Amino acid sequence: MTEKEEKKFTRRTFMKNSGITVGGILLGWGVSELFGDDQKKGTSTETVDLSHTHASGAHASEALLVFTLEQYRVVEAAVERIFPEDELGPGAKSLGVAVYIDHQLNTPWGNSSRDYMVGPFKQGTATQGYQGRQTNAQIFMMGLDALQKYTEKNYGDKFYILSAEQQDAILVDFENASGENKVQIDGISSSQFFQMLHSLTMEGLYSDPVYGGNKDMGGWKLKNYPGHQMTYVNIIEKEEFVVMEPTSLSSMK
Amino acid sequence: MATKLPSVDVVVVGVGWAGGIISAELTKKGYKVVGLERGKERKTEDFLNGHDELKYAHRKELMQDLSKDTLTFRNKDLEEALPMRKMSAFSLGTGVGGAGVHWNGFTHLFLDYDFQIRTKTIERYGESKIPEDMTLQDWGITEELIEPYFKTFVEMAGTSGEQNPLRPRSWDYPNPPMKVTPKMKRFIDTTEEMGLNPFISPSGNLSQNYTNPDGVSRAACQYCAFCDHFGCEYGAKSDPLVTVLPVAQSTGNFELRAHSNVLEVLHENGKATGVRYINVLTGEEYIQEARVVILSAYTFTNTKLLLNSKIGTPYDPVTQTGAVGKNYADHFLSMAFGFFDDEQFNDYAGAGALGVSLDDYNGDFFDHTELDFIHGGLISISQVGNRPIGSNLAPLGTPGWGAEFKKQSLYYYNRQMMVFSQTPMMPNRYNYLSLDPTYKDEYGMPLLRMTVNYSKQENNAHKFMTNKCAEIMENLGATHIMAFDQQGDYNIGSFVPEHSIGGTIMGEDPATSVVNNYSQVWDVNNVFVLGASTFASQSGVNPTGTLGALAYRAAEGIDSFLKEPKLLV
Repeated sequence: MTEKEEKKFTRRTFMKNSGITVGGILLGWGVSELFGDDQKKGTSTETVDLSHTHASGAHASEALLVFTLEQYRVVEAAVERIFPEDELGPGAKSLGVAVYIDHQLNTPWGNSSRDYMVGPFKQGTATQGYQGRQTNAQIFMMGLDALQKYTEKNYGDKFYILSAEQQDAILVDFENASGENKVQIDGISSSQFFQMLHSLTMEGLYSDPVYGGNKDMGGWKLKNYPGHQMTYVNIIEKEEFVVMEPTSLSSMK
Repeated sequence: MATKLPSVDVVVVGVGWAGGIISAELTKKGYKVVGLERGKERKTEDFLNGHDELKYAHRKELMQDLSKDTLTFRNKDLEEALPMRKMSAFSLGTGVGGAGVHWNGFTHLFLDYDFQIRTKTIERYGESKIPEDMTLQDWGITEELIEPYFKTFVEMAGTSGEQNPLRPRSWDYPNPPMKVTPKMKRFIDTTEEMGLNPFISPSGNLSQNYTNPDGVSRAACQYCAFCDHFGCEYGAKSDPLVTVLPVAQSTGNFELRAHSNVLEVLHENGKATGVRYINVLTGEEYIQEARVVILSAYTFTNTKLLLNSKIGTPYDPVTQTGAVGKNYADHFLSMAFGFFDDEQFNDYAGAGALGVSLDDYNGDFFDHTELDFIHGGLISISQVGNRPIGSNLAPLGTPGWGAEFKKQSLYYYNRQMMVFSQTPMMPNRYNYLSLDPTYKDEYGMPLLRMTVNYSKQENNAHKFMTNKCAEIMENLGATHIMAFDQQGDYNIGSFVPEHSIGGTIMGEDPATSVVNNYSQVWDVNNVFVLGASTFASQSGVNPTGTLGALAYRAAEGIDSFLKEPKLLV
């Protein structure tokens, strides 16, 4: 057994064991946060990190509105592959992108309430834009469901259990840059879902923290972006690069 | 049954720049004006919490609600048009102030060449220069004629700028040019060395505190970098909310009704009697009678209203008769991105119209004898402020996601420049607006149908302008350059710069145009149509300065018409 296979095996064991053992006790504790730490801890089957749970101060606005815990874990793992944590700094997972996406699906954008949703719905040409009847939230949830099923069918496991390489391979199939159409979804294309996942990831990394992502303005810090500032009149002509401490819209109340 | 309201002198449909200018000018003269705007009321205070990239730039808070009204689109007559379901390509403004609230502020005037484009092209190159399918025609106006109105517009707006060396004016902008950033300085030095003629872009962002001839005082721009898609919380960006609308309101002669969506212009025996509109909140219908009806909505709505009201003759591309819907055109961007390995710029700071431009490859400022296209575009560099959701560019070959994407998109975030040309589409026989036979808006009126694609003219101009941009980028010293000189079909699902013009075009001949140079409709002459829908052809610059100037000219004409109703030309 190679090291990689061993890791995968141990992680899976952890999931099964912990799921059964601690499920009941965890109900009031923010199960998603607990499960969400699995990848970060690597091979550990012993410790359960409670540091991010409700009891220790997770903010009420981080609760899920749309996703099940299972879906949340899949999304967290997927967006982390799009923008992974590394020596440069935090990734999409710790910056709260999955919470951001969950919340966005429950907005006017998610419900496509400002889109033209009147029929007849017909197949358009490549230049006629989206012609489906699904709302943005429906497209995302259809894609997410397909991602879970595709993973289960081809890898016999859950997306967030797989190795990073396996997760990447699945996302490549969904992105479908090769045009091989390995993933079929009724009513939408897998690349449409992937593009939406990608856009939502960028939004979750870099939108104002009021929307649930960009935790502690960590996304902005990666880009030296100062966020919401009232004036740059003293900076605009400067030759040297000026790094400023970012400020969010919450400073405007 | 629609409720009939007491008649007024003038009813204005769409309260953006054009409607705002008309309302201010006519109410100052004592006329009673009612402004109907289908969106909501807006004020500067709305934008205090406005530095929100997601809400405004990506969720398009200030743009049209497509669930109520959109357009249908196809590339050519043989295809079936389908609705634009999501706002992807366009930035259609809505609400009081219209697109004048979310514009960037670039305040150019179209060129002498544009207004007489057919005559001047034939004069210099002969008739054979104009391809058979290019429906090029003069506007019935000259730049000398429009120039004084342009001056009135920039003084009202407080435009900040300096002389364009290739087209100096007899007057100066009311405010000095914007501050010069290191990027701008580099562009000026580099292009001057190349023998080109750069100038600081004329800007609707105030370079200093300013009081305009109407007595409206506004504060200077703070370079906060939230202009395009956003409203200005300082009132430093010239927009109708802080210029012409308060003037109209202060006269006591202006009544503004928001949430009022006009369905048709009512007319009998060649004379308009008023408009029928619906209050979109209550569903109540009203008839507002007026001596003069002004259509000053966006290009699409102006054209849709004329067609749905059966005013004028719809354009037919087969027989080439009729004029309503004719000569639709847009801009496209020809550009070169440059990545600088060893330098960082303060790109989070900026202003909408902060930049440098040059006209050397615009209009007919260069010789087209050996070239297989006419016109060209204004080449610019601008510093609107890089925002982090929308700006994740990295040199060609960088993957779109994953660790390498993260590394490169972060590294180059503050290390890039873009040199771009707003290249115009030329009018084409097969690019036009008409009514859709299938799809309807929320109130049961047929949607506007757009049939448009690029032709050889556009593809050749794009290639030429892209190469010019890349050449400048090389001279700017970029480590990596990225440019795309091929473009596919016109695509409603992807980004288009969207300065939509045409549909109710201005001209000398009632057979080939909809309005005369006072924006007066030939067929029903107490209806005036204002905005870029009256442009007979596109130029290489932004449209607002020209549509503002034409609105001031129209205001003169309408005043004269109210005194003595007749065809003004």
